[in-house]
Amino acid sequence: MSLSDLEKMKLLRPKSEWTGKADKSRVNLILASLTAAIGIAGCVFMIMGNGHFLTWMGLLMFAVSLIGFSWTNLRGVWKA
Amino acid sequence: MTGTESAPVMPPQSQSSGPVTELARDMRLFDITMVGVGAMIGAGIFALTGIAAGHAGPALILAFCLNGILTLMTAMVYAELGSAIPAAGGGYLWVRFGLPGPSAFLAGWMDWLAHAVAGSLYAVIFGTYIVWGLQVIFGLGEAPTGADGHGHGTLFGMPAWPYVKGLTLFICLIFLWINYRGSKETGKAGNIITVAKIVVIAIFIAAGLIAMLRATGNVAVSETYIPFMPNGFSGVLVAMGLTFIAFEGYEIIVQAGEEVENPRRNIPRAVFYSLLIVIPIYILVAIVCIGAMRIPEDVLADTGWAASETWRYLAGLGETGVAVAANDFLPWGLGGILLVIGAILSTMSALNATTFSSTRVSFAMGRDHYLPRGMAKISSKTKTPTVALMASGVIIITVALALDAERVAGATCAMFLLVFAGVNVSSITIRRKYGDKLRYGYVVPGYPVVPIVAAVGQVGIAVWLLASQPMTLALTAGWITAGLAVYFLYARGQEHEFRSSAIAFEQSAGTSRESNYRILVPVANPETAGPLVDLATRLVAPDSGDVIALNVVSIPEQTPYWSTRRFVEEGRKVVETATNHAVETGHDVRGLVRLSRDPGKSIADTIRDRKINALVMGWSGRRHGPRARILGTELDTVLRNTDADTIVVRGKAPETPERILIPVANPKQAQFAIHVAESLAGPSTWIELLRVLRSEENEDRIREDLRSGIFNISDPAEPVRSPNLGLPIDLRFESSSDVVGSIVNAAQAADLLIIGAAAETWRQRRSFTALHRGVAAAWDGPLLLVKLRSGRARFTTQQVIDFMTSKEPEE
Repeated sequence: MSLSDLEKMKLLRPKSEWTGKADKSRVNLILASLTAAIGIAGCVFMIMGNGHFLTWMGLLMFAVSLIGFSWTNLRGVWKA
Repeated sequence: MTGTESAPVMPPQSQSSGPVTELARDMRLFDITMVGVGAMIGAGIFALTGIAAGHAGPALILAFCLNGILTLMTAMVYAELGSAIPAAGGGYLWVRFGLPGPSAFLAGWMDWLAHAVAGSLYAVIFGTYIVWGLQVIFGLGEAPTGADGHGHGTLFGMPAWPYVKGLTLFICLIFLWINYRGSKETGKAGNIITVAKIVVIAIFIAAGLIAMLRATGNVAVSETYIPFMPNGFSGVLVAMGLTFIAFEGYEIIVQAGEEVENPRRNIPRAVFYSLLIVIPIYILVAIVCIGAMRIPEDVLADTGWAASETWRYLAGLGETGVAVAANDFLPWGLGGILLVIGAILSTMSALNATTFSSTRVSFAMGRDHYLPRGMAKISSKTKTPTVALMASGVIIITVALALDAERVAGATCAMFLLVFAGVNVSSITIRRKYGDKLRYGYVVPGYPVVPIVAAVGQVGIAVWLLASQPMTLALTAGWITAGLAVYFLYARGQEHEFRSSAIAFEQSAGTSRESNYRILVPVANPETAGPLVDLATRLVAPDSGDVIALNVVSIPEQTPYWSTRRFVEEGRKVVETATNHAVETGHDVRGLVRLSRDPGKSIADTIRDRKINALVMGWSGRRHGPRARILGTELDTVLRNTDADTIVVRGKAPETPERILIPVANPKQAQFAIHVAESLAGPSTWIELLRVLRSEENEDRIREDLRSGIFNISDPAEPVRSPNLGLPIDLRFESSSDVVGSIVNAAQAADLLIIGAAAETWRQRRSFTALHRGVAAAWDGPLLLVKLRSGRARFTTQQVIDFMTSKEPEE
């Protein structure tokens, strides 16, 4: 596939807008990293808890992370 | 000579066969989100929960969380690409942009079959659950006990399998019809089913949670989750592999890219919304299945399990584990009914979604000429790809009726994982090559870490699956092998034919003899056409090689192909000048005129089409195109995309040169340069090899290396002579840091300068460099730049690396 294919599909910007650099993500990287880290930490806690309190804490952290991470990314869509 | 002229024709890719029918953009955010949710909450969660629990234990919850993380990373990539390139084909299409060679075909091939076979699985499970419901709820037969393997029990006093197969066929036909009716109907049917399914699962989860709160009996709820990972982390990995198929719905969202309203905004939102709905549902189902179930006393007595090991009981029940769980904590036997309804709705919506997606992949492959063109045909009445739908339907029905669906499931999962890994890698090259040219609605943060981590994770799970399940490995390898056969025997030729530039005029040679060695001479200028063809004819004996003179008529983008007759006439005259010149010198040359918007690519096409061994090409000495180009846009395009012995000619080579200078660095290329020099030399020609030494190089050692490397001479006293004609050759050494200056100084005494290509590696293709350009700029005499072909394996490797590392988009 090539530029001409993209052109036929009408997916290209006008040539005057070609800057040589791709658009930067509008997702808040710090927030996304933080929520992702909470999710991963949650999974580690689930293992460490071995079914006890820490496991459920980990699951709660994962749930918070899932919502937070998705919300952060959805904000990136709305802004674009 | 005879000539065959055809009217200026458009290349196939420009031809139109009537009004263009496009897919209808009528799916809204809710519709497309439901397509994704419907595909994910399929039969997998009902059929695989029990089986996966047997491997992971209570850590099935963790397996769903980890799959959720892995899925979210790939889903981000899908959201980015789906917003920028929203077209039917989805992952397959992006691999086509982002990976070279047959990767795109294989991605599409695997994606098509994976979706179709997943549909077969859902259809079979639909039939199985209907029959199970009739047996258990209505008492119309005997349900399988588990002792009869994969049997279906009896129904109406007869074996139940014909009923299962009949229902499987019935549901396949129903959803093929729904998909034929169009995406709006597809979306409506899918929405109703998906919403109903979510309601059923919500009731199941709520009842399970209530049962957990009211739990009495032989064990506390909290004890059912201890130990959390009874089979260790490897068990969690097994469960992840088995349940991954339940997370691939976002793939189906992007398959509908051409049918979504405002895709830049709606596709990424639908991807995230669908995962936000599905991941918590899976986790909650796992929690209630383990926590709310109680093992009957008789089972405890028979097995010796601890009362808290509900995961073992769930695993022992296998595919019906969730159904029994539902019966366990819902009153009045409602659980079985609820679960049968849920499973039927789930399999129906999943079958709907996979029928839709497998059709769109095969449609896109047909449109790209990887599969027969008919696959890309869209019904003008329903605006759906009918042939692609029928082809997908044949696969779905055949596999559902004929094959052991359980064994095929692993291969389906492995293929999805490999396709997703390919998409992740493609996203990196697409961003690098086309990133500034596309309109993204969403861009992945943390590029390229996210796609790299996701791809590594997916390849890891796929390798684990294939290594641990020999049958899965055999089926996957079989599919991939069949795909490669289709690619090399059909698809590659079709695609190449479609993309090649049109031939406007072809002049055959005087003889019908076909030679094994073919030289192509692109000619553009009548004044230089004769000498170029003349040089080419001197490289081969008249009976041992063919020479083809090619003129590429360059058609500007704005000019329609039908208005090119005048340009073809001009091209024909240039070619005839070249062939007539050859006739005067007693040689036989064929002529060819092609039409193209990209002359460099057209020359490369001809080299591939005609299996050209050597290329003789003129060069003005001036560089055209961007600064990154070495010899100019067209020459660089040809050199980069072809592997043939190459001679680039600047100026007019003397009839019989007196003194030829050949600067040497790479022995292999020097041998080819000497071969070319011999072709042009007369009996009194003197050939001089020049080696410019760097300060740290030892002349004696380099002399020895050159004598042995180029001429295979070990005796220092033996004179150096050319291998074929025995012409005397001088070896000259100069120490200098100014290589270009030394070459130009030495060339003052020569009447022809021949420079071999730079040494290349498997990783890097460097035909000609700034040194060649520098010498050409400083020396105004006749100059030949020569390059020996790399060999297929090395050239292919270089092409792949070049494609993956280059920032330049494919033209």
